[in-house]
Amino acid sequence: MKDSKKNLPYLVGTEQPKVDSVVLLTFCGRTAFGLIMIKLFSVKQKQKEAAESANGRAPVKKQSPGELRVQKDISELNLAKTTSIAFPNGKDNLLSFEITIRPDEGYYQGGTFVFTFQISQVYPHEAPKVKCKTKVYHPNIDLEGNVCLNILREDWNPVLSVNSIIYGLQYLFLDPNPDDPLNHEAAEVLRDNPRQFENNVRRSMAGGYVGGNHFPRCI
Amino acid sequence: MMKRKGEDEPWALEPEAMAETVDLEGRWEDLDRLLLRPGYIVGPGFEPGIELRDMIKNDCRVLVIGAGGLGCELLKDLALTGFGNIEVIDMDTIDVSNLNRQFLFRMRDVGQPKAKIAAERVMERVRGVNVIPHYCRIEDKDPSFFQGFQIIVLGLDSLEARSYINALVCGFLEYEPDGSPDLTTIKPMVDGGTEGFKGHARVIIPGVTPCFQCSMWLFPPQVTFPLCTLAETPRSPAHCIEYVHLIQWGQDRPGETFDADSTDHMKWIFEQAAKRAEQFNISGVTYTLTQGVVKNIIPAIASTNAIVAATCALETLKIATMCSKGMDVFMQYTGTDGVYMRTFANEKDTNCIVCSPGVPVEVEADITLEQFIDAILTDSRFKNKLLKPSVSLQGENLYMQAPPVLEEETRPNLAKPLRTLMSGESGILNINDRKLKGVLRLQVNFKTADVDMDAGAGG
Amino acid sequence: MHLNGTDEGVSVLRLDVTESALKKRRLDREATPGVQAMAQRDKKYDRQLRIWGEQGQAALEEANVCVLNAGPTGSETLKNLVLGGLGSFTLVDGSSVQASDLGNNFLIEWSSLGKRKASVVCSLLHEMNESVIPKFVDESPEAVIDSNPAFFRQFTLVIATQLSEFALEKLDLICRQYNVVLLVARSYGLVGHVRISVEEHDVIEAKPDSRVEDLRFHKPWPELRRLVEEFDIDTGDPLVHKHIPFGILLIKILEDWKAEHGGQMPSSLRELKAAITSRKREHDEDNYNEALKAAYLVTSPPPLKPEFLAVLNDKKVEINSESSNFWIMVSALKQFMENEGEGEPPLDGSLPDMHSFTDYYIRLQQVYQAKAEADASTVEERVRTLLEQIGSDPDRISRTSIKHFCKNARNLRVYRYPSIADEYRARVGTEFQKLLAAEDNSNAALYVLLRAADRFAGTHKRYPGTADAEFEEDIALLKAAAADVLSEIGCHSASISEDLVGEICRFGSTELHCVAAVIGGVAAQETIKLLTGQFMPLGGPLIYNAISATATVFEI
Repeated sequence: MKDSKKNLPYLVGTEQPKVDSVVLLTFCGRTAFGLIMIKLFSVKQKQKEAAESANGRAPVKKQSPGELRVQKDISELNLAKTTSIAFPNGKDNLLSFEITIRPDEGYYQGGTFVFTFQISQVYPHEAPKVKCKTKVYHPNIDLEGNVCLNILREDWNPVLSVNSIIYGLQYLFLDPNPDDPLNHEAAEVLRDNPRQFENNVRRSMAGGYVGGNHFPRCI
Repeated sequence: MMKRKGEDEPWALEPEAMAETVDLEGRWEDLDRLLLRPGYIVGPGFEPGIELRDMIKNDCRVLVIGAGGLGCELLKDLALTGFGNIEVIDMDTIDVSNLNRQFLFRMRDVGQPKAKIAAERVMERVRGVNVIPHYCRIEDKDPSFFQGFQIIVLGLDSLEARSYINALVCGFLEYEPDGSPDLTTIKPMVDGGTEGFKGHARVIIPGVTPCFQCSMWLFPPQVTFPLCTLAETPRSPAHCIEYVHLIQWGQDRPGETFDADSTDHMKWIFEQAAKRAEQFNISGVTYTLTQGVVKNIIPAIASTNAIVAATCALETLKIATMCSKGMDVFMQYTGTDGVYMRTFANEKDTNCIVCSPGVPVEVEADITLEQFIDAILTDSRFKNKLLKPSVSLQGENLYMQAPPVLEEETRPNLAKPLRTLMSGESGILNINDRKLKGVLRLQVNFKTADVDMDAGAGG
Repeated sequence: MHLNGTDEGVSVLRLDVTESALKKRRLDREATPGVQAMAQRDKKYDRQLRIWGEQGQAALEEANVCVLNAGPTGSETLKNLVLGGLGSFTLVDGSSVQASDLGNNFLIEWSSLGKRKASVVCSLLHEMNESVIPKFVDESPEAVIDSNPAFFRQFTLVIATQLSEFALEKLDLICRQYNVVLLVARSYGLVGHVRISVEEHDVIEAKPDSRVEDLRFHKPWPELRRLVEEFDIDTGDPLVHKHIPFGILLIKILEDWKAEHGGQMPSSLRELKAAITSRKREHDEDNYNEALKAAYLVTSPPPLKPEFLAVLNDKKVEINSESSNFWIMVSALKQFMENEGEGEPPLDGSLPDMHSFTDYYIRLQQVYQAKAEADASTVEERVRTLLEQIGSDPDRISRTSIKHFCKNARNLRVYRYPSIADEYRARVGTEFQKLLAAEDNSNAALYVLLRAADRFAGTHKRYPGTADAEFEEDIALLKAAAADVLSEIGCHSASISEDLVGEICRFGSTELHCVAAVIGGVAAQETIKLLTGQFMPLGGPLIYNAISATATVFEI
């Protein structure tokens, strides 16, 4: 543990006692002058509860650390013009939202792709769960909407943000990666015959069949 | 021997009658040595005496969250440590695989709510203790439910639940104007956890010791495999299992939700994973491993739960009575290589988004949200730290600078009085800004005193 | 209950329920028609089978454990073992249930007041897990130790709780005579003590937390070198380039380096890393990134641990007809290392995951497994020869056992514990002296004070602080007793805080439930480690300090 240290001595004399005659003691290693005053039976709590119920207003919605952090992510979003965000559950529920990407270059130019984001209560300890709602012909996205993006799984870490994931998704459309495929067939075509791949992408986005699979129109 | 007259076998009384009787003399003589005698190494303000013993028996209400491996031990330990009023909350029912350690349950109890059975068994065995079960999710309970206990003990196996309770309980904490915690709002928590031969226990006194959020980094992130490895280049039995679980299920059984508690579902995953493993020449897929990977099963044994729960119960006693020095502040136990049991004084995160006091800001009573934002932008303490601050009150987004949809939606708030938005009360606002590394917590106080509820109530 | 005959002169009682327990165990174990019962058992023990496996569980189910004293420490220890499926136990206690038992022991019911404690606790333990065979002896442990030492011969392990040092010394002699493992567990106020006593405990499956990766990249064997040859790590196919396992990359790059540097190894990790980086083509080549991370395995391969070397150099490696299977295998292992192994123990054959195509990885894995298999066979041959040499049955040790031994060879451990008499007589080592001289010497001081309290009790026929009236007097007497102990162990100059002396008197030898639960938990963990032969047990006496929630293990 990085900030471990030796136990504090039982008697602590480093801080000035507020009253001369009071001996400063520690509890749980912390100077705890007056901690006993927790008394475990707080009058104030009761008064406050009474006041709240008298007011007749609902207590403020409690917030999980995941919500707090995603609040920061969202308030600082810097969306490109090709990207938009929607909150199906309203402005005060930021734990699930949809990101829509409309690439303006590359194979997928002109398409509209919707991703759902589910943020955990312990975000950013865990990565958001992201799925592609639009059925897409893409080497790194399978037909069920699973997305192979390293920062969504093995390379996630708490300094990353919703913004980083959106960048990652945009990048997937600009530069699909045939080396780490989820849709094996699409990857093979991209690797062996990029022209064919481009045709397949156009066909799928226009609402057609590729390799026996039907793709709804998304242009 | 007993303060009751006449009977030859007073202990054979009916339970109802016993509830009336006082304790047998000498029943608590071991505990009495700690609680009735003066001590040499004790917490601040320790006042030994009968009143102290009566206090934990009659007045101190303890909540145990979780009635599993730790929960069963905790209920037993607290009951035999003199706590007379305990409540327990758990949403689970008893499973066969609990029986190797959750000693309050028997084969015949499988399928019954854990909280209910655990409470019954402890009351049967430890006469005089009152244990009230709550068979529900912690989220189902109103914050005021938790407010009603003096100490909360956590016997949980999930990070989410710990984090939830921590945020809720730290939310009760208020700070004095000088930034020190208001002692009357502190609700202490004791938290335990185990994995195999290892475990931890810790004391969280919000505002005094680090809270769960302050040291979230202590918990390693879960191992996840890249999806494309699962799909294209599986190399281990776990890869095959996770492929079927995460990808193949959706392909082969579209529309069906996978239920890890369904034997049929689990068997299907196992069979498909075994097939896949054979295809790739990988050995080692078993049903046990399949369950372990899919459900992320953490191995658990009775002895480790006993060690961790008893450590938690002892700390609970110390907090309630100050009969000994509190642990400092995070205990780690490892039994795989000899016995290692040490405490670490990890530090509070002074900017913790859950338990830090927040920077005090005093504002005029009639200030609007827009004026407030201007005020903090010009506040010298935040000079060069803020550019475009967004403001939230707990889960309510008062004003969001981005994205455009939210900016538009929250814009009308700018003209409203801040005090109205905060329901007339001082409190903590969260400020987010791209220039800030984390969240800036502001303790907002309104200047005028006429409707100051705290002062009014306290007078 | 009925009398089950006498056992070395001690009346051992079995609960009536024993018949049902036997039946249940039979059901639990029979493969057919008890398939369902077996599945039920596997489910019940699932969370622990994941730790110690079928073999560990079998050892637990075969064990016969004796527990002395049925207070909370003994009861909690047994509770943890019974839940896990211990085979059978005998609980020895000669007292009746008193009011105070209702305040500190969960394995006693209100209605048990006045009844015999051993019987009460025994039956409630049995109710907890009916596949365990419960027995009890309604006699004081001290009396049994004095009158029937042979009683202890039948047990796999004896757990002595709440015994004073005088009784322990005698019991230890008995256990050593019969080669029965002794575990000492004690709760005393906010202090606890656990200790193991046995001449020798061998651990094959030490299961260390951080497994050493024995991958031999620095000296690949011929088959591995041949496999590496098959790869063209400079392939023009970018997909193949990023899917060659890092093990292959490291060996090949090292070979090339040596070829270019007259057979020399890279002089530093940095040099090797530079060589790896020069072959890497793109930043996201995971296999190269893994190779860079693992490069240290080439320049500084994991050394053999001192504990392992101590086993190899143990005098018991010189085997004779009396030698145990363990030492015969160690002897064979040593020969292997001096010959075929070229200084290395057998390869364990496991391979960490490597970013790679499936078939590349599986081929590499097979080469590792084949080498492990071959090494184990060589050791096996040596074992058979050695057995013949000492005039024993060459098939005495099964192939499975030898393979298991070889797989874990790097982590072998042997523990030897001084007898309790030796511990009490000897002067303590410098390690303990240092702890006692430290600024916070609480736990070392508590070790001394627990011994002083026993000494106090020996002289004054009561534990310090038991009675309020003599409290002040007891503090002075305990201090004196502690000074005696200090001078006997050769630490005259050490000082013990008055506060600790006061606390020990305050506790007055009480057995608090929670302290007993911690000690019972530690004792059960140690028992499981000793019975299964897995993990690493306590190396010396342990003091648990519930005031600070810490524990210290001493080297005496």
